[in-house]
This record gives sequence, structure tokens and C-alpha cells, in this order.
Amino acid sequence: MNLFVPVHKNDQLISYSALKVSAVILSTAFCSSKTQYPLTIDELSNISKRAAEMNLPWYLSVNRMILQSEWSTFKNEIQQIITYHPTGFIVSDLGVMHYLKKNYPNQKIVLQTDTTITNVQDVEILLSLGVDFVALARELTLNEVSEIVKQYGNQVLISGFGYQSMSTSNRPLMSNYFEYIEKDVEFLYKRFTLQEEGRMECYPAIQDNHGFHIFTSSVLENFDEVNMLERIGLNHLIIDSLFIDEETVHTVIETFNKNIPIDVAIAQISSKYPLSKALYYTPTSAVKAVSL
Amino acid sequence: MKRPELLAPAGDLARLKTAVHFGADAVYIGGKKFSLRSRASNFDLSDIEEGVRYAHQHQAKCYVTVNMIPHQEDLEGLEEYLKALDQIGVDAVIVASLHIAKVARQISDRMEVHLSTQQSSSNIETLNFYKALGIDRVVLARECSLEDIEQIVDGQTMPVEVFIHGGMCVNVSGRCTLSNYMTLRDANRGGCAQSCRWKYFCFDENDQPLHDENTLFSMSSKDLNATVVLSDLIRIGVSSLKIEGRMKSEYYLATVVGAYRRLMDDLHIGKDEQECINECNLELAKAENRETFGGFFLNKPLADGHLYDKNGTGITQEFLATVLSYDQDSQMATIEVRNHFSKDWLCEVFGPKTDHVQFVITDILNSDNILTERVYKPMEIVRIKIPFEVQSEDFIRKVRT
Repeated sequence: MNLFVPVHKNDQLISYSALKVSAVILSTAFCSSKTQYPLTIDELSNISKRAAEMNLPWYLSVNRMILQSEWSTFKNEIQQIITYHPTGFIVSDLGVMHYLKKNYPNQKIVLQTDTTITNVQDVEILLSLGVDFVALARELTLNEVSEIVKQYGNQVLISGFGYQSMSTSNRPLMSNYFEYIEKDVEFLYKRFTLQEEGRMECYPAIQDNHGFHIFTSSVLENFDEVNMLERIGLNHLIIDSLFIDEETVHTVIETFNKNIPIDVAIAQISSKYPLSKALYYTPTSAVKAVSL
Repeated sequence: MKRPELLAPAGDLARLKTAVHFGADAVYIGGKKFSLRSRASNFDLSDIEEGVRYAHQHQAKCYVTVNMIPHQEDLEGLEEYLKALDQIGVDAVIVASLHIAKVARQISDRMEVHLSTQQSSSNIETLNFYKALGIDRVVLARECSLEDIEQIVDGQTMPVEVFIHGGMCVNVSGRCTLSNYMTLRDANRGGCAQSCRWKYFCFDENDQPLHDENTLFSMSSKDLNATVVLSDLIRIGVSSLKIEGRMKSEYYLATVVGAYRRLMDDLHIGKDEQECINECNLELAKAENRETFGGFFLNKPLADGHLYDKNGTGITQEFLATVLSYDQDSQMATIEVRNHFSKDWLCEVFGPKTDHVQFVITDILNSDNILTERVYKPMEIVRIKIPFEVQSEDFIRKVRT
């Protein structure tokens, strides 16, 4: 199984490489969102050099919409980063995908929109248009994932572990709220927790320079399901390591690499994090809603 | 300068007719299948056919939303459905899935394919991508600023559509699954429970509370109102100005469509812009059920773009009746009742050709032709005296005092 894991410092690069991850994901403050530790361009340059020395493929995360007015800044940053020889890009904006494929045809493109890729036919179209890997929507059930994996297993990715992104807003929702209640709180890249007033679940959230992002209340763990999907052709996994401690990330990598038994891993991880199967066994539907 | 289209929503045939009557150049409706807004009373194929016919008879266009993000199980019958829409004469389908776009394009060269805001298009390269797929128009992300929109339009890739009024997703459209996880309703398949409008406690990294007990955290957005930038959007060359709200009432549509129609027409003939905007906003305020703000057009929304203390979802009761006919000799209007009213109420008539004229109700004849002081049965046909000529399909509302 090819594992893609985010890194933000050299130490991680060394340890993940030793654990035999297939690729690492780097982030910058401009291009990336949903990270607590974006790299400066200098840091990215250093880490990319180390990755090259270790023969470790690396991808730049461009996991946000790029507005037209940001486009020239985006192009400039990409032009600089391309000189550091990334293996490819993980993108969520189809315009970014189109631009990168047109201008840097040798770079691998992973399209990860979080939500909109939900059926075989859409995957087929995206692959035919030059996307190298398609990350499936997080809200799919295991059966739905299986249907797609059966046909395009070698070119799809799923999240193997971690808090799942539930929403992303271009508004600075947390700082807006603090402004409204006149509270002086440091907010940038900090972890917050939201709890709906009538529910028990607690949702981690983060504000970055691009907006505000909310994640699932529990951590997706699908070790068994990935084993099953691997048998029908799945080859690539992303580890969502946001808000997850380093030791646990190591355990997760070792488990997917079949060096730690699943039950041992779950026993270790569940003592720290609430685990779930996300929506793998809980189909959501377009039910008639009640008036709210 | 090319005049943009005013595009209005309609949840059923009555609302479609109202939108067209009050000046929409085009309407968008949802079918029973493949559409978001499961709570809207969506159209079956015969309704769509009648809606298209009515729109075309009145020189308006009719678009059908086929904008769900389909899972595998949802795709059955797609081709037949799109063929039926094409045969009916639908002017365009609004889609969010690339597969649906592709099938629609293969089925018809005549029927346009518009890309929904669910794909959150926000740059020229995205439009280039969609153009290569045969998309005819893109509905831009609500996150686009005027500057973004101007640059995109200048790129001349394809016509663009921009939301100008109504409810706003606080999250990037199509990228939100709050509803899926919190209520098991799939927002991208029409089941959005609007979890963003709920109230939340808020804690820091050490689980210490940060919220104000009296004002909990909420993401609830104020509605969009683009009156102050409407002339800019027209100058920039936006092709279609879109009003949100397939679930909104007939009265809301009459008021909002009428107000924007008038604003666009008045700006076109060079009337004083500020005066026109003020008039438009006065009119819009009569229909709104949520506070409004300027969205992302001029800057990223700050705290004043949110509703923290209240959701502001009170329904206005001011809509009283629609006019069916008017007898000039007796000055009696035959009307269809929507909300109760009484003698001596100060009212206002408005319509595409009737200019917000006020009157006091003096005589009411109920459906049994008996003089009465008060009517209260919805849909009852009654007659009231109106001392000036009114048109059929004009609306009557109570004047706020």
C-alpha cells in the first residue's frame, strides 16, 4: 500500500522514510489550508532537498480554491516551488489542476476535492482529463468506495486514517466570532473544538489565512476495510495527520504496512482518540428534511 | 453595453409565473430527480413542460437544475431524464457533476449546460477547463469578489452568472458535509439540514470554554444583497444576475424580482444610482426574512456578515392577496386572499405596471357577496374597493406602520 503522509519538519521526513511511506505532503501558508504547520518557502526548500537525498517523493498540497485575484501570486509561488522538483501536487481546485497539467505535464496530479467525486463515471472523466490520482469523496460508504475501486483501484486514493474534513469556509469564522463577543483570543492555526448545543460530539476546527475548517468528531480508522479494498485493487492511502500526535501516526503507518496487528494498533490509538468508521456503514441520503 | 439577464428561482408553477410576471428574464426550477433543495416543491415533467411553455410565451427562458452530486445509485434514468428535458425545450440544465454535464452535452447541442455554483468556480483556468468539456456558462462561487469577477469576465472564456440576492452557504458550496455527519442528510443530494445555522459551544486546545454563554458561536450567514454593486456587475459584463431561493414564497419572489427588475431598468436609463439603490432596498426590506449584507463582493465577510443572536427567520405576514381582475366602473377588485385582513387597513398594491400605490380598505365583499369587516380564509375569492386601476396578478400587501 502506498502511503501519503503530511510532514512539516525534517525529523518527520527521516522517520517516515524509515517507515517506508511512499510520499510525503508539504504545505505552504499560501497554497495550503487545513494544516497547523505551513512551511515557509525556505523551509520547504530545505525539506525538499532532504527528500530528494532520501529518494522520497513529495507532493505540494494546494488544497484550497484559488481566487482569480490570487492567481498571479499562486503562479509565482508554483514557479519557485517547481524548481525544488516536487513529484506532484495534491489539488482541490479544478482550475489549479488544469493549469498545472497544462504547464507542468510531468508533474503528478492528485485531485482531492473532499466531497464531489462520488461515482465511477466522474472518476473516469477526471482520469481521462489528466488527473493521475483521484481522492474519493469522504462521505461515501464502503460499498460505494468498493464500486469505484473495482474499476479504478490503482488510480484512486482514500483517506486511511484521521479526522475527516467536514466543511471549509473562506470566512474567518472564529475570529469573526471573537470580534463579535469582544474577546481577544489567538486564533491562527490554533485548534478549537465546537460542540453543538444539543449534542455530545465535539468537532475540532482550525482557522488559517484562507478561512475556517471543521472536522469530524471522531477519527476515521479503517484498517480492516483497507485490507479488503487492497484485495480489489486499492493502492494508495492518505493519512490525515492533522491533530494527531507523532507516535500515533507512526503506529498507523506501521499498521498499514502490516508491521503491527490491527487489534494492537486500535487498542493503542483508541486510548487517545475516539475512533469511528466515518460514514462507511452509515449511508447519508437526500431525505425529505423537516422544516427547521 | 449588453444588459444582463435577471434570473429568478421558482419552486412551483405559480411561483414561476410570478417571477416571469414581475420581470425575470429567465427562471430556474428543480425537477423531481437529480436536483438539490429537496424541500422545494419540485416540478414533474409535465409541470416543467408547462413552465417552459409559459416562460417562452413571455419571452423568458427556463433552466432546470440537475445539480445534485450523484452517487452511483442516483444515476439510473439520467439519460432519459435529460432527453426528456431537451425534448420539452428546456433552455439549459444547471449541473454540478462532470458526468451529468457530459451526458447533457452529448444529448443535445441545443440545450445549454450551465455549471452550478456547487463546483465553486473562482478562476479563469477553471472556466477554461469547463469550456473544454462543452459547458456553456459557469455560475461563479459566491466567494468571488468584484475584482475576481471582473478579471474572470475579462478573460472572455464564457458567460458567467453571479448570485445577487438571497441565502448564502457559509461554507464553500459543494464542499460541506456538516449535514451528512450531523444529521445523516447528504447536502450534496438535497438534504442539507443547515447545521451551520445552529449554535455551538466553543473551546480552546485545553478544552477551556471560549464562548459567550449568551451568544454562542454560529456560522449562520446573513443573506446576500448586491444592490450596491449591481451597476458594477452590469458594467463588468456579467451575463446573468441570479436570485437565490427556490423555496421562497410567491410574495418574496414578486417583491425581490420586481425590485431588482426596477433597479436594473432604472440604472439602464441613467437614473440616479444612489436613489435607485435606496428605493430598491426599501422594497426588498418588505420581503426579507433575514438580515442582508454585501457578501464577498467588496471584502471578505467579517462579523457583520453573520447572525449570532438570532436566525432572523420570521415570516412576514404582509402579503394579503393577489388581484384577479378589476372593474373600473365600480372600482371593485376581485382578489384571492392569502393572509387575513380587515377594513380600515392601510395597504399597497404593487406590480410590474402598478407603482406601489397605497389605499385604505373601505369595502369588503366576501365570497357570498356580503359586506364584511374582515376576511381570513386563504384562497377565498373576495372583492374590495380600490380607488385606482390595478392589473390582474398585482399583489396587495399591508403597509407597515
